[in-house]
Amino acid sequence: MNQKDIHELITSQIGRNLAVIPSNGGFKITLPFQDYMGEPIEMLVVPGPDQVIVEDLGHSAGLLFSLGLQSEENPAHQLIKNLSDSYHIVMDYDSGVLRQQLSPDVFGSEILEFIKVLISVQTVIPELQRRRREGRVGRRLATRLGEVVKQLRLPVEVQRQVAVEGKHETWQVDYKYVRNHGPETVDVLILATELNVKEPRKGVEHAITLAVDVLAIEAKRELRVVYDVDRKGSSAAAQRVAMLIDDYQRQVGYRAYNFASLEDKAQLMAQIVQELSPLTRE
Amino acid sequence: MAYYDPSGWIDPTDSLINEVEERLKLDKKAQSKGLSTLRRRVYGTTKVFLPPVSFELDVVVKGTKELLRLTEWVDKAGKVYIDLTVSNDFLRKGHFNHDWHHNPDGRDIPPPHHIHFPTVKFNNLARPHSYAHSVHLEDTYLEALQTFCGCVNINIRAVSLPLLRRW
Repeated sequence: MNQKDIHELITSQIGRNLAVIPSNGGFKITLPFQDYMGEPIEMLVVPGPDQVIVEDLGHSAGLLFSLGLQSEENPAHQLIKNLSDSYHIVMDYDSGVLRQQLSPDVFGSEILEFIKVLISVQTVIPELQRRRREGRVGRRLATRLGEVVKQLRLPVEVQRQVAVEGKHETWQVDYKYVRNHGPETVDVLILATELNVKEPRKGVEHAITLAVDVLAIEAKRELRVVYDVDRKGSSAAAQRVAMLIDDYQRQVGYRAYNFASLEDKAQLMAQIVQELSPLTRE
Repeated sequence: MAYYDPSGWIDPTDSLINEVEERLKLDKKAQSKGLSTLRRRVYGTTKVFLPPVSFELDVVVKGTKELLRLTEWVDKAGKVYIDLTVSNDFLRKGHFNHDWHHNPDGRDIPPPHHIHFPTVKFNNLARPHSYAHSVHLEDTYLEALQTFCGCVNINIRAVSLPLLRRW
């Protein structure tokens, strides 16, 4: 294979998998690159007299939405924002598309930059999530906690993955239910904090910040922070930061449970069962 | 409501994932999150980047009370994407108004509609190679939702339709 063969091979691969068809008052371009599902990446080009508009058809926002990463706090969302800023692309929150207006003079070169961003988004973002998943040791604590809660066969519905308003931010907790406290009701929130990860300190920082913010508002709430640190199996860093969760519980007002401790685990489960028992709820 | 068994679409050396299929066979009920609720409580003051038309439903599994996430979005070219997930794992991925899909065993699924499902050998629907079975329906997104939910035994009668709009 010589230089000419390689050139022809690549050119034919690109040319064969590139398609342009009329659509939406412009042209839908099917690019010779695939997304994480193996489908061709597509974009829209709408030529005008003074400018050419290029759009991603909503696929970048769709990717975030499918993977549950649409919030601006998410690194995937931040990556799209940074790329958009760097390449002068408009991230249109109202219509949910990435868009760029190009001058016909520079269309040829600039469209390649736009394509580069689209391919980057479709390639990198699914991998960001995969890395996060594979970084976990064994099954997630939240999954194991979920299995135990399921076994309790609770008589009332316990909400999972609930968004909770704090004083300044909205947070996500693993479980939420309401328990009776005399004539009043109290929201019980349960947060599973994964510490058997590369950077356990981040988990603790998140848990304690969440606790401070969520417990700062006036609503009657109780927060239970569950972590899983085994004196033998967990890293020294995980054991060290677990002490932070334990030490600050009284000061901040949450209650910590170590899922690796049979005593803590049984206590947490017994408490949930008791609080949700039909007898105590009447 | 029903459950569609896709085992006929896969190579005999492969098999469906019991844990997934058993979950899909159970009765499930979809409930609308409510748009104002979604904005205020789920996303709060946080800015979100959502596709042109999209919505999200909670799906509660009767009996186990497990909560699944059902999302549907449509791109500007009319392709419809419906996902059913639990804890970031895809149980099904519905692609409507799409092109051909090539199954790992070499079988081609003709356009325009197919639903991806995980198997033991190809268990990650967020990868290029996974199995899909074809479905037949008209070209409306509502029928796509009804067909998808029918295949995975989700009752959507409690959900107010039409839902797809930009919020």
